[in-house]
Parts: sequence; C-alpha cells; structure tokens
Amino acid sequence: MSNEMSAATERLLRDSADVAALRHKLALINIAAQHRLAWYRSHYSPDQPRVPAGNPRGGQWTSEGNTESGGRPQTMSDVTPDNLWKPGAQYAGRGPRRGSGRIGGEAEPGQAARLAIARARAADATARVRALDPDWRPGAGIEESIEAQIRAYEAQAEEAEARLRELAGFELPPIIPKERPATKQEQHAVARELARWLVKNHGQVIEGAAWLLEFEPSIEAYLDPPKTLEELHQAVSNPKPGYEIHHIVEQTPAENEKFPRTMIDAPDNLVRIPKFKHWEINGWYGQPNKAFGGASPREYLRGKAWDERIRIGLYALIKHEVLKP
Amino acid sequence: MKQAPLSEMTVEQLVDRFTAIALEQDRAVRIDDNTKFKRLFWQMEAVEEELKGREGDQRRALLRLYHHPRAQVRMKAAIATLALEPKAARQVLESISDSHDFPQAGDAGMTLVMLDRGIFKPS
Repeated sequence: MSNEMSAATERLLRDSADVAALRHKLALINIAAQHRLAWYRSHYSPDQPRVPAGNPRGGQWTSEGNTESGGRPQTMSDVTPDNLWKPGAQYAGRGPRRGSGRIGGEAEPGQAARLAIARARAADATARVRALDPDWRPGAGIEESIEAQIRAYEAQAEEAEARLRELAGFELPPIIPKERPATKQEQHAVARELARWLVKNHGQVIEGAAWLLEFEPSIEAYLDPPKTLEELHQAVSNPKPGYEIHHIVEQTPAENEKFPRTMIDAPDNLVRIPKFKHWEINGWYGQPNKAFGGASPREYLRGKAWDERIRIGLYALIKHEVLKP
Repeated sequence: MKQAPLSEMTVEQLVDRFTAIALEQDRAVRIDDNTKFKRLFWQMEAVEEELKGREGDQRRALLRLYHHPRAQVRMKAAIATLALEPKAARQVLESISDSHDFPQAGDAGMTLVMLDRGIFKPS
C-alpha cells in the first residue's frame, strides 16, 4: 500500500503547477511539520511564541524582549532534544550501530557535539522522509569509530534529505540546538549555518533559540541584499553590530609588501560589510584554489600590482553578493 | 582504518574517495578551517591525477557527481572536468554561482571570473 501511495504522491508532486497537486504538496509539508513536532513533543511548550508565517522580511527570525531588535516576538527552539546536546563521552556509545563491538575511543567535547548534530540531523531527515514514504530505508550502515559514525550519520542525512527534496520539494533547515553549544566556534557555526539557510530559502521562517539572540545582528546582516560600492563606502563611518570593516585590498599582505598605510586605509579601500560575509571572504582568500593554479588567492596576489588586488577584491565582493555587479 | 593506495583503487572507489573528500572540504570551509581544507585540497588533487592517468582519462567518471545534493561535490566535480566537458561543467558552476548556496556560490563565481579572464586554464 505504501508503495502505491508513494508512487501516487510522486505523480502528484511532479506537476506542481496544477492547483490540486500544489494543495496536496502543501498538505504533505504540513504532515512533515506535524511529524516533526511529534518527534520533539516532550520538549515542546505551547506557550512559546511562534513567528507567524508570511513574515514580510522573508525568513528573518525575530525575538521578543530582545533589546537589540526592539522587542519583537521571540521564537524559542525545541528542534534538538536536550539529551542530544550535552558534550561528553556519553554519546560515543549510543549510536544505532549495526553489528557488535565496542565504540573506539571516547568523544572529545567538540566531537561529541558534532556526533550529536549528525545523529539528530539523520534522525530528523529520516523521520520526515518516512512520514511521506514509510518504506524508505537509508542505504549505509553505521560505523564503529566516532569519526566514522559522524560520517555515516551525515551520509544517512544526505541521502534522506535528497529523497525529501524529491518528494516534497523543500530543504531541511539546519539543526538548532536548544542549549548553547559549549564553544564559541560551535555557536558561530550554528549561527552561520542558520544565516546561510535563510539566504538560500528566502521567505522561509525558522524556529530560533534563546542563546542565538546575541547573533541576531550578524544573521540579519547576512541577509542584506547586495549594495552599491558607494553605499558600502559610506557605511564605514556608521559602525553597526553584525557588520565589520573590510579592506578591499587585504591589509596585512599589502602592508607586508610595503604598500603605504595611506593607500591601505584610504576611504576607497574600506567598506562595511556583514560580519559573516567578511569571514567567508577572508576564508576564501586563504584556501588553495585550482582557479589560482593551486595557490590561494592571497598567495596568487603576492607580488601583484595594486590594480589587480583591487580587481580581485571587488570581484570577491560581487560574487559573495555583498556588492552589486 | 588505513586507506588503500590510490593506485590500487578502482575508478568507482576513486569517485567515492573524491566525494568523501569534497564532503570533508564542505565541513572545513563552513567553519573556516583552512588548515584542514588545505590538506584535503591536495588529497583531492591526488585523486584527480590518478583518475586522469587511467586509460581514457577516467576523470570522466566524475560527471555523475554533477547532480550530487551538496554544492561542494558538484563544484569540485565540475572544476575537475572542465577540460573534458567545458560547456556542461561551466553550466554546473553557473548554477552554483546563482544558487545563493554559500560559501560555494562565491567560490564558483570566482572560478568563472578566473576562467573568463583566461587566468585559469583547465587541463
């Protein structure tokens, strides 16, 4: 029966231009959402305020009583069960592994957190797929070592998410732990994934978590549309949370190569850009890249004239959707 | 577990290895772990070289990754096959560049810039 239902569902979804099919598709998404709520109902509080659908700012999550955002309604997360987000070795041995044998080694705090995220993501994605296709089973087994378990859970999640996209045409939001992750690096990782998901899934609304409030300016800034160069220059004189000052020609390499500070810090080399975009661009500058002959863009620019540095700097801003083309 | 030498792997295993490295790269770039990314970059280069050296240039086997759900896998497969399938590979890069799927959207866009400027010459 379930195979027939699944085939019928897929036939309906194939033609989403058809009104009836679209209505059915929306109903399926609702089923998936209901399933998810049931999945975490032990952590669900009906008193928690929710962001209403149809937020005109498109995907921007809001928070009640947050001084930074002017007291808008807050969304609290119950996305990840409490017992999946407590760093420690207790998670190392609890995977749904197949076969016998001891888990190799104890998880370190960061590793345990990654394992918990991977496991929650796999379980969530699998549950959602099964709400639409009860016969679906992931292909891969679960491995013994912690790193292998993380990879296996992630592979399982990838597989389930791909199937879910086929069935319902929407992408899973990132896992947002209810409790604050142990390290700043992990907190930033979650906040950045949330920001990226919101950019990619424009118009969607996601449940946040109280600990994320301090990252709200950075997340909101990441959603900025591209601006003109003039706007980015002018904003330099108006510092704002969630933004950083960026040198179009990177300052440290330029200084190392004896370009004068008057050029490096000149107004036409400075722009105010979203903090998370700044980090992304800085990261890209330092990564080896086949398009730069295997060197990083930073290494490629070594010994190059100011003009080429500017050119690459502006292209990077455009391609990261900070600067209007 | 120790990996088998690349020279002893089948093409299928090399494609799987390529995919696994790309997924690890994805995790690294998302948290700016450039030390890890650098190591993974050269591991991927080695896999590509091994595929290229197999009879008939087996990098062609990476074409199947053009439809992988993760942008990093699609992007790396497209870049690795630009010399073999320039038009199709370029379409993959353009699609990622336009997807708002960061950080890969930015990287794919910059790859296209370097291609169009003639600085990146795939071989």
